[in-house]
Amino acid sequence: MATIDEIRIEQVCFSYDNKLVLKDVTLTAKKGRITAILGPNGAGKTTLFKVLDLLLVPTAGHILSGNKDILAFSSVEATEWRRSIAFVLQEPYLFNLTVKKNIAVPLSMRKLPQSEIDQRVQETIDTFGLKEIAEKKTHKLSSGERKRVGLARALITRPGLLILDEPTASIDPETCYMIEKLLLNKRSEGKTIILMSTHDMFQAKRIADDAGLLHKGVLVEFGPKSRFFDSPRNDLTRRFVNGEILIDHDPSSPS
Amino acid sequence: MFKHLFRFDLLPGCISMMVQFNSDMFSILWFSVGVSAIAAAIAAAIGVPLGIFLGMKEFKGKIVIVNITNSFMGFPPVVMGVIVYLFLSSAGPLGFLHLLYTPTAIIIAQSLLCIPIISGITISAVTNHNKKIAETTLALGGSRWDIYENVFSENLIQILSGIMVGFGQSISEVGASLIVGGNISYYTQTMTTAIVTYTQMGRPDLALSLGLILITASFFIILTLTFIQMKNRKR
Repeated sequence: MATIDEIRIEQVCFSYDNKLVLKDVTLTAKKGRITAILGPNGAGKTTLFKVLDLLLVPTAGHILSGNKDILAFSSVEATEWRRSIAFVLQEPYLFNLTVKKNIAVPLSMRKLPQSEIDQRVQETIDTFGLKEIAEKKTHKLSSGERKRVGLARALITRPGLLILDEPTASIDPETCYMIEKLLLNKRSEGKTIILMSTHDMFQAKRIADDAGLLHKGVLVEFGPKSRFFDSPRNDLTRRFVNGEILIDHDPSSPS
Repeated sequence: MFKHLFRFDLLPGCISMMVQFNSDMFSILWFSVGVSAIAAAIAAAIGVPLGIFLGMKEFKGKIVIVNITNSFMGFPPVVMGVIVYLFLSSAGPLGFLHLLYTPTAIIIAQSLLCIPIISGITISAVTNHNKKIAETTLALGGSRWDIYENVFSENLIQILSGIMVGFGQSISEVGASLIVGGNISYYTQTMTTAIVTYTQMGRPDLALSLGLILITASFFIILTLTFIQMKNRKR
């Protein structure tokens, strides 16, 4: 398994159609910790994650893993990078195959021997409690089951960095609890950096170690969970953790 | 009153001819199916990758190319026949190949008619989900090649439909086959050109029985392809 000790995002900017989607985002995510990025829809969370997975090229900034800037990677190195991490989209696209075959896809793309694929698929099915739906076609799954399959398919590669975009959005509390438990187990193994986005503040409180608030492309505050929630330094964060809905506020203006 | 609208008197003769299904009929049918299958296969080999490429790539002028492809889906076979004829005739640029009035000429014309159909259907199939498939494939550690492979396999059902439509167009088409094949008995006569000939010869009974055989054969071929498609869906 690939291990990455920490990932440092430094002053990353991204613009699309002359609109700045990410403005100087800087944060560090560490191994064995869950880092939660909070923020309303359209804040730039997904964009940030796509940049990290090298699916989008930022306009400025650096992303350092060890002493390497991943943004300077060649296309071969970029594929290697994506193979050492895992990114689960908010609504994971599942292939028109059975659950079992879907989970095997990343391994077969890595050209692993079939016996190893079979063994790891079986392990993953057991870990994620997918035994009952293993032979089901994916279009017959509920949204909660789809999320679990997406997560299982990502974790089968034993990534050093796990990026989850809204892993529990629009699913039932039971599946939500199940996913949170899996993430906590993963954290306790201490080998993975877990970076997730959520707009559920209580979820971040429950499972995260570090938390940040992204608003209109600006990371207004980032730090350990206790400080973030108990004594936020930024007024916008204070309002956010107090349950206020953040709209039409320009985070770059002094608060 | 229907008697005047349709020659029901021809039916008994037709059916007995169909039942007899002599070796001449069989060889014409076999030739037609073979030529159309080869044409559809060649068109698929060109049209599917072309459709996937056009459906996935974003470039300037894409809309124009896609629109041209779509409008070529209804290209009149007779006109295609004339164009291929002009290329293959002895005075034409490819005249030295001596392909006019050969089965190859029919295959060429039918393939050219099929390519826009297959690529057009592939484009519309692929355009649907290609971004999500591409993103997911890359995120799971796939290469560029894996993206094409996944886009192909995820849209296989629609792509197979396109090939079926292409085959249907080829086997039912008459204008192009007549012009570039020349309707030579035991050599380039297809079911459709034979139907034209027999009708003109004053043998509508024979023409009709060939027509019924053609319909029956295409029905079973398309049925087989549909089963393959369904099996794929259950994969």
